[in-house]
Amino acid sequence: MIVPAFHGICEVTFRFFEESYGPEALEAYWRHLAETYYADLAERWRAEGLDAVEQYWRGIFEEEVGARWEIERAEDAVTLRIERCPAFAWMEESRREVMPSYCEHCRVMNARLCELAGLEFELSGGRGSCVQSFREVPR
Amino acid sequence: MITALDFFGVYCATFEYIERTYGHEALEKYWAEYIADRFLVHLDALVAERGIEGMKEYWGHTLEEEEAGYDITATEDSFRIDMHDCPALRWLREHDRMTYDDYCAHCPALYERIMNRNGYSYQYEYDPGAGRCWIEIRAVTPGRPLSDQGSAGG
Repeated sequence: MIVPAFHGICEVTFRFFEESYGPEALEAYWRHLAETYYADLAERWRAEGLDAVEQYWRGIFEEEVGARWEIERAEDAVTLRIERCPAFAWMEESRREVMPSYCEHCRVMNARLCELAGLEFELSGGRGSCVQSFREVPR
Repeated sequence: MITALDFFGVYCATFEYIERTYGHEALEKYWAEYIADRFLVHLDALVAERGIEGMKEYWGHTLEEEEAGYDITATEDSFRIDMHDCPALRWLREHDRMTYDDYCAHCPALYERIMNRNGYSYQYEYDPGAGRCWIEIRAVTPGRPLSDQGSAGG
């Protein structure tokens, strides 16, 4: 079951942390989620590598509403090209303003997940379209 | 992106994190000032503009979308939900993500606030963690907050 309105709940939740306790507290919340809620996911990525990364994001984006995306797979990397982010799609359709730091959660959480999984993460772009790269750490 | 597939789990984990890190008052503030006042603006507008009909529209849509087991009973001046199978509790149990025991407390924290400021009383009872509850909303002073009753001179 998917409830697209959850993207709006996430956005006001981020505002709660940032406005009440500052940007450091918001980043701490994101890191906490990565380290606890998504601990099993990090472990799967560590154990199964980029196959599991690709499988996870395909599963997510096939279910999310309003997304336009593609995944490129190379031997040492998974690149997620998001042309239309489903979170932004929902908020635009709902005529909700998206806070400036909203996209930072992808950078912070995915970087932490990759760190736990022994991978590298890079993100470029944002505000509804971005490129996210998950790479094996060069040996 | 935090996927909408993780809605209930992340929501529940967030309650636990806020209460443990900043205290219960902070959690009450989050529910009231952010979720109720800044996220649920659509429900607030529906109730303000259409009263009971707006409630039927809102919950009729959200409970279907969330695949709840429920009955709605509405009259001209009352609205009641009997929840037999809360989709959130079902998901949290099935996925072993019940990280905040009083998850159900957020519903009255959100909805009573919105109903009261639109002139409706809000009564409820829930069986914590069981996925069963009832809420009953009654028109008292539609269009005028309940707290204004005393000062409005009848």
